[in-house]
Amino acid sequence: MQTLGERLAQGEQAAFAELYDACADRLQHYLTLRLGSREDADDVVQSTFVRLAQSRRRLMGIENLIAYVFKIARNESADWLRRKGRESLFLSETGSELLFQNVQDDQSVHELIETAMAALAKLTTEQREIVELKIYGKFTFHEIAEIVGVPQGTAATRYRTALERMKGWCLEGPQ
Amino acid sequence: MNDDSRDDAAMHDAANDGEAELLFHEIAPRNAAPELRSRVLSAVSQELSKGTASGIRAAPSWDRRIGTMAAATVVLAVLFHQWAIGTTEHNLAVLAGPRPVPRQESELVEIVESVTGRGTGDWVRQRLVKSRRSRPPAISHRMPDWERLFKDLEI
Repeated sequence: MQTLGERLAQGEQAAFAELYDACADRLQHYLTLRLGSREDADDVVQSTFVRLAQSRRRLMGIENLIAYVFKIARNESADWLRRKGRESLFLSETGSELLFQNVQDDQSVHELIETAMAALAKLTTEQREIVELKIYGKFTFHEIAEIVGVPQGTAATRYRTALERMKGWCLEGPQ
Repeated sequence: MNDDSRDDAAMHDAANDGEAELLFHEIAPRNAAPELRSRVLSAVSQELSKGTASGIRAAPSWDRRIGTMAAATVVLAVLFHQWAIGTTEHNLAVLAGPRPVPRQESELVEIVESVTGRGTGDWVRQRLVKSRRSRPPAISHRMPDWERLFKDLEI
């Protein structure tokens, strides 16, 4: 039986659909956080998959396809930002509906979302990326290191520092 | 309760859980729009058909590339060997003069001459010389030339 990587390498359309279903939600969320816009994130998701289709023969030898997709998406988003002449921006608290399912009727959920956005805003871009990949991407530190291109220890340290920073801010409250 | 105090309360709750990450686990991320799937897969399909329609050939595998490189190396080695032999022959001819005719060949020509006449003997000699030139010389054939050369250099 052929692996997903082999089917992708052969240009099987259904294999690309399978790969999309396996990672699209997480990927879109990650790119929205990086680019600050759902429309831009959609464009980059599309360009990422087109890039994968173009270089599909390489996919046969890829051990972790989802992490590889994120790595390509990260490069694509960096190119996209460069072309647009801007840097990664963080959504303001008013942009929380772009990242989270907001239950308008449920005030407690709304408050949690606002808190999460405020906590994320306290982090550096690098820390925010690691937190996103760890919590919503559900990646291991090994995979995160591969995606971001840093040593595994650095990824773990950034994550711990980010959590401590958020926790400290939560305990002390906004300055 | 104003917004700030609500935020403070929510943060305090989250902090009391002991883990800041629990805060994020409690809120559901927004998923990709359903229409994005068909858009992305359509673009992928277009890309895949482009590759097929334009007749893009499969990139040669590494095995094939290595095989081609090995074959090219062998051909180059043979050509270089031939060139080196030719150059050595030429240099030796310049230094030591033409190669002496092997004794077996001289005897053969003499026998032919004695039986069929001088004309046939010359023809046989030319044929032997031509055939000797067309094949690479064995090292042993060149030993007298080398010996003579080394002797000259000593003087």
